[in-house]
Amino acid sequence: MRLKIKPERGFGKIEVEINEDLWKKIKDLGEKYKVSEEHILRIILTEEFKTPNEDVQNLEREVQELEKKVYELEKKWAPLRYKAYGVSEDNKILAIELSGLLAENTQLRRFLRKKVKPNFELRKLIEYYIR
Amino acid sequence: MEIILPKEKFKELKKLSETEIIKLIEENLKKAEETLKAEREAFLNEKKVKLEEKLKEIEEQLEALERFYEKALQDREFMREMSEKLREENAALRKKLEEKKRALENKT
Repeated sequence: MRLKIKPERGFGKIEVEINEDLWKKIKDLGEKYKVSEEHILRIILTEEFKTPNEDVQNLEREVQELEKKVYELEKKWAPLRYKAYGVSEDNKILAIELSGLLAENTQLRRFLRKKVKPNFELRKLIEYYIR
Repeated sequence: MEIILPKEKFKELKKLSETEIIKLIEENLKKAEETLKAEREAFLNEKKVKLEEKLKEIEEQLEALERFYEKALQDREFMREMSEKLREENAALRKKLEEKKRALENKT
């Protein structure tokens, strides 16, 4: 593989021939870390080296574990949301029904000159689900 | 393949022979691998933080949804009972009203 090295600004170039054996090593490294051969050569030629702080394999496992947990919770979320929506819709229908029944009850009680019993808890629920 | 380098780096390399550049590449492959590991580490650390945030968010939302669902179930039960009770009470009140009406009609 013929490698051409050029400066960012200015003229001139360096050309080197990378033998097959070395090229294979670079290529394998690129495949292992899913980066291009250019990226590897750039690191080497600019000598901008870094060292990892901890065990990357361990970190890989931690991330995988977290991904799994997120996936499990997301899986739980969708059916629960569907069920909650269903109950909420049932409650809306019940609230409409109850609103009618309460109005009827108040009217009947007035006709019969009976005391009207206010049920604040129920009225609050009806309002909540109708809304 | 073409690699563009900062001018200063290029100047340094220009002083080396082709064999020396090849040697430089060969000898630094291990360091390059360590650098790739460090880059992967930085990427994973960032991903880990994002996933932890997402997990916390989903856990909170799920908890809220579970609470909402439980409360909605209880409310449904309560409203069903109240509906039944009111239906019976209204029927009894209607009956009374009918009786009252009939009694008034009989008087006249």
